Formats: sequence, C-alpha cells, structure tokens
Amino acid sequence: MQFEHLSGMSDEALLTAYANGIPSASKILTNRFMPKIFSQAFHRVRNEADADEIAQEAMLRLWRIAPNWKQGNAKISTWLYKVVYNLCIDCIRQKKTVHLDAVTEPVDDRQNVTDFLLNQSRANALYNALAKLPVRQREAVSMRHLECISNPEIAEKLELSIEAVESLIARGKQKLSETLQSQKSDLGYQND
Amino acid sequence: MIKGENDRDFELEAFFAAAKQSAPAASEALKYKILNSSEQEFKKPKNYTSKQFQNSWWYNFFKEFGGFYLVLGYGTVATIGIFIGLSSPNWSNQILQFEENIMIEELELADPFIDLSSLYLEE
Repeated sequence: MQFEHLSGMSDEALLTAYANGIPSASKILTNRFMPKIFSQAFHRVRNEADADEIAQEAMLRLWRIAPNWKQGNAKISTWLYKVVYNLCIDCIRQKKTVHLDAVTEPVDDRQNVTDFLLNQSRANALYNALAKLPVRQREAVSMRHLECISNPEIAEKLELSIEAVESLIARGKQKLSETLQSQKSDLGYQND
Repeated sequence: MIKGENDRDFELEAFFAAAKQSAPAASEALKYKILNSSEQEFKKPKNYTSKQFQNSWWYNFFKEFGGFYLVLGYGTVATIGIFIGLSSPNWSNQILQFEENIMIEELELADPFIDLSSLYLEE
C-alpha cells in the first residue's frame, strides 16, 4: 500500500494495518504520536533521557498490543496518554531520592547563557508550582498550556466533561498564579 | 487594584512560554529507535487469538484457571495421581529388592582375598 494512502487513515486503522502486515503504517503512527508523548513525558519527568525511554517504551507497548487491539473501545491517543502517565509515575517513584532541581541541564549554545538560566528558573518555578496542585488540576493545566491539547481532547483523556475540564483549568491557574506571585520579582518579571 | 483574569493569564502565559521553550523536541534518534522497535516487533511471530475464540466458554474457563497450559498441567498431575492410586504397582517392593541385590554384591566384593588367605593359612 502506498504511503500517501496510509497517511489519510485514522490512527486505529493504521494500527490494524500494521498488525495485518503493513509495516510502513508504524512510521505514520510514530510521526503522529512521538512528539506528543515525548512532550507529555518531558513535562512530567523533566529529564530528556527519561522522557526518551518512556516514549520508546510506550510505543513498544503499542506495537505489541496491535494484533489484539479492539476497535471502538478507546482511542489510541487516550490509551497512550494513560500508558505514558503510568510510566512517568513509575519513573518519578524510582528517582524520588534525586531532587529534580539538582539535575544539571545541558547548555544550549544557541541561546544567551543568562537568558537560558533565567528561562530555566522560570520553568522550574512553574513546574514546582504545578507539583503542588491536585493531580487532576495539574494534568489538565499541563495538557492545556504545556502540551497545547484542546479541552475536548483533555476531557476524553481524563474521562471528564468539557465543563469539568474548564473548571479544573481555571482553578489550577488561580492556584498557580497565587503560588508564583511571590517569586515573580526574583524571576525577572517585574518589568514585563 | 485587584488584578483581572486577563492580567493573571498574561503573567502565567509567560511562565508557560518559558517552560515550553526549555523543553527539548523529540530527537531523530528517538524516532529511529521507535521505528526500529516497530520493525523488530513486526518480525516476531505473533500468537493471534481469534475474537470468536476469545468469547467462547472454553477460553473464559482456561483464563479463570490461569491459562490453557496450567489447566493441562493440573489435568496431567491428576491423571497420574489417579493411575498410581488405582493400579498400585507395588514399586516399593521392587525398589527394596533392587537395594538388597546391591548390598549382596557389595558384601561379596568386600574382601576378594578372603579365600586365598585361608588357603595360605592351611599351608
């Protein structure tokens, strides 16, 4: 089957095609899901190597489940979200003794070092504030504002109504704002 | 002055932007690894279970007891147990007899020069 024909197919159809002997379907599925699940993993574990491993493991599980995938039960994106979420929890539990701020980040040469460090501090402050939120609020805010997922999609992944998701995001942002308020001047936002 | 929701969103947006900027993009190496794993999984022989069989009574029965092979194991053990119980082949006597034979042989080989020494003594 031609690659162009495959690219117009739904995720579920592609997975079925992969299971039925069309290996190129996996390339399209990888292109569709890899950036999303890597981003989801990175914003939770805050380590590129761990996010890499999690994304790889999640996709491997997808290939393995392909022959027994039951169409109509769940969307692949929802299934992958849950797999990545659980893998992130396992990863965080295993590394609980290492404080995340203690992990050194590789320096990006393309960026001014001061800007880079300031950006890192701002990101760390946000992640720390996010960590203080209840799980559902944290997940909803992360998905909406860090992974840029639409509210209906978040509702599907969290198995909630759209109204409930909107409420979670609003409450989450309110708390984030309160937590970050005291740190704003230290993070160079007084002149923004 | 109380800050409006728009001001708060604007401030938070700056933090979100910083976090998004600090996040790396998925690498080509990761893509290669994922595609490689898909190829390897694709080459593996697959044990397909038909959906018709998945809904059958037998499938659920085996699943309840831990799978077909476990049920087969239980069945084999039960059959052997019943066979031993019913046929009672008196293996214990045969084993005892075998052990006695070995002991006799050991006694015979214990001192092979015993007859010779008695001959010398007679001389």
